[in-house]
Amino acid sequence: MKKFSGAFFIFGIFYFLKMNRIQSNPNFENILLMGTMFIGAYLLALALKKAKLPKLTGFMITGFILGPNVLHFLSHENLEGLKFFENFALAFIAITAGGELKFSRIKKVLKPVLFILFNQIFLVYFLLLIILIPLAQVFLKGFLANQNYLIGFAILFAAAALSKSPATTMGIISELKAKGRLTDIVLSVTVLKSIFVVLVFPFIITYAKIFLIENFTFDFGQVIALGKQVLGSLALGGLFGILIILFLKYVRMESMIFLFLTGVVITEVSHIFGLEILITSIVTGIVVENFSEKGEELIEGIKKTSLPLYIVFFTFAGASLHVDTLRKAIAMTALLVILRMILLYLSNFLAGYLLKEDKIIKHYSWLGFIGQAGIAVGLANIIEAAIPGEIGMIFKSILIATVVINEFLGPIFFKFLLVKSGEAQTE
Amino acid sequence: MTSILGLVLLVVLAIVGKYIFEKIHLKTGTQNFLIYSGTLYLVIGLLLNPDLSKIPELSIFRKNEFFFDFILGWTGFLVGLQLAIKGIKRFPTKYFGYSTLGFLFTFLAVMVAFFIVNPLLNIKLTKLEILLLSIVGGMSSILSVGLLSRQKKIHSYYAHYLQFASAFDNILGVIVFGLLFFAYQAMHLGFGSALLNLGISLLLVFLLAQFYKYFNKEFKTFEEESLLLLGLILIIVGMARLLQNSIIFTSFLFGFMIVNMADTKKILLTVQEWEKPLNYILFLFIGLYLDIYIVNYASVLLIFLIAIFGVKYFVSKQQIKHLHPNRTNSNQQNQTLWGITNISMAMVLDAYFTNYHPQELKLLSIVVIVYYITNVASIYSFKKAVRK
Repeated sequence: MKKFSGAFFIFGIFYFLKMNRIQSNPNFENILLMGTMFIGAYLLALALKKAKLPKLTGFMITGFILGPNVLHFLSHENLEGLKFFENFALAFIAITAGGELKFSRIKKVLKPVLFILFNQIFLVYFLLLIILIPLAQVFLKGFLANQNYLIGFAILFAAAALSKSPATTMGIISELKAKGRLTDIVLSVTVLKSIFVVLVFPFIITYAKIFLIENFTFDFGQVIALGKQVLGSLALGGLFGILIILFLKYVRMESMIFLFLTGVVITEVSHIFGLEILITSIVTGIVVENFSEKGEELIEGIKKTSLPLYIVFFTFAGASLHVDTLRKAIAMTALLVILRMILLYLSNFLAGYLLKEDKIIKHYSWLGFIGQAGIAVGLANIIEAAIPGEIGMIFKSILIATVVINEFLGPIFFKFLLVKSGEAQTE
Repeated sequence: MTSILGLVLLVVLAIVGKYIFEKIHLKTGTQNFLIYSGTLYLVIGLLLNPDLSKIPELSIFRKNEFFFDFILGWTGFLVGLQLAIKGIKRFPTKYFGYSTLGFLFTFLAVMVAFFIVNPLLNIKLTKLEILLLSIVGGMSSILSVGLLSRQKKIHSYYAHYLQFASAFDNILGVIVFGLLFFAYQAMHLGFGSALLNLGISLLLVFLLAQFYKYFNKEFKTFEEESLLLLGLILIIVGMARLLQNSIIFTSFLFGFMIVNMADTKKILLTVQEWEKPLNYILFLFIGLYLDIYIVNYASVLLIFLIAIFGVKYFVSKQQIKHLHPNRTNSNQQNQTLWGITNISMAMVLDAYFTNYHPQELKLLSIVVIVYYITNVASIYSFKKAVRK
């Protein structure tokens, strides 16, 4: 109760100042909003911990309450004005996720990682593709009468189902200070799968367009452009990794500022050149962690200052939830969520069975792969931009609605898994 | 290039520059002062100052008000933290009296000097600008006093008072600065509205400090404590801006309240980690905003310098004489309080950012130059006197 009242006290101050301001300037309001969000979201998250909910879920609920759906403190304009911080948070979280990918540690869990990764990519994708085409005919016949559209829809949604949020994974691992074999497996699969999805998705969209856009012709130049984007992201990530290593080796001054700035540069440069922030950041983290003696120290340094970033990222995610969308496409959405869960269970069970893994891996490890956030939303935006008109909008709405549910369930399930496996150091 | 990327470039240059600068192994007090004060960051800011480089595109660097406002809030918060009543109670009462008198005398003397020469030399400073310069003149540099004390150049019986005085007159300066904002608001919005705004700010700062007191136990780790302070300072800064109050004054009040309400050790440990980097970024911004056409204001600069050197020398001499009547005064320490504080530059920027008066940019150049001249002169002349 104390934490709830504290959070609402802070919201009350925000509301009072918003109503009684002398100067009307969105920048000033954004400063106030960030402070309100940091404290309010954290207190609410602490309060929700009593209900065994992870802090990330608390941040998302705060975002939902502050956002355009309820209190309207965090309006679409504010979200747009503070967009940079969201991307910056994503870059930082992804650097940390990449930094957790130590080759020597992956080596120890290489077999289960590869098996689960392979199953999650191919089994989930192809089975979902096969199931979705007839199912979409039943559930989406009102929107999509054309057979080609249904195939296009199935291709895109099967690919989007592969995405998994590294931010959610890192957030829960940091929160519970989890360590152990299962933690390493989930994190490694998540990061590798994220890289795979981000690399492959633009190509899949191009392929889906053949079914979705009349007279669309496949042009090899598009593949080259996509390849350039991917290679550019990888190269930039590698370059930043090397720069950080050199800095750690020779300068070693003001490391805190330097780290902060690296995240900022990755965000901005990726934005300017249309590169993938996520790939660039993950690669940076991987390079620093594996090719520098001080890598671990650096990643620990980032973790020490990452709390505000998680708050920004997940509060924004909560505020961006589209309740209307969820309501409109609830049946198809629920079906996609359930199907994805079943297929994830099957793929992990199969990997565990083949490798003679324990019960936790076979029956429960799928719980670590539910959460979807930044990447999936990014994919939805790519779909909307690539497929203009009503079809693109419908696809985006359904995809975001599935992300909404997975985003809320993901942290709860993953926390349950880590606690059950005994790898969570704290609750 | 975007504004944020520009800012990054600046800071990276400054870090690398500082690294090279430190490798040169500078030994003298003045050189030490230049390093510790963050001069290199100021120089980098100056190099990329759009007015200096004549490249208008560089004005993009200035579009980072969000960070900048936060740093001003942080600066005020740090000054407030110095006013822990438990801590300052151990100082003799006469220290407070002499220090307050010293500040007020310098403040009044600088003010009178400017009010006299303003019409005579047709300088065209407004009343509020004169008051702002008077406040700045009254505040002393903690850094140069600290550097001299650390090198054991000042006798311990003087050092004790001088360190106290340099910290205490900063507090007095920020309080008078807050009142100056109030006066400005009263002139523009009316006395009643200004009073209401100040009252609301004070009430909200008090409530937020109470909030800190009751909730800081929920924020246990360093990470959580940093989050709490960051969040509260952002709220204070946003509040100050929306209510058109001084960021430095409002956050000073917050710092003062929480240091007297809660666990000081915990706050200071958190603050320590962030103090230096944020101070450097402040200097970087100062460099970016400096108006280089200072030559138009040479007369203001000259009068200001003469007033500070003359009045502060006299004030220090009187203070030392009355505090230690039985000791032979070698006159060494009379120059120690010459240097003005770096907070004064933040104060001018605070005034500028609140659209208080467009001429404040010129004042910033004057204050920066005076800051360096007075501090370097203070250290140099003190050491020279010691050698004699």
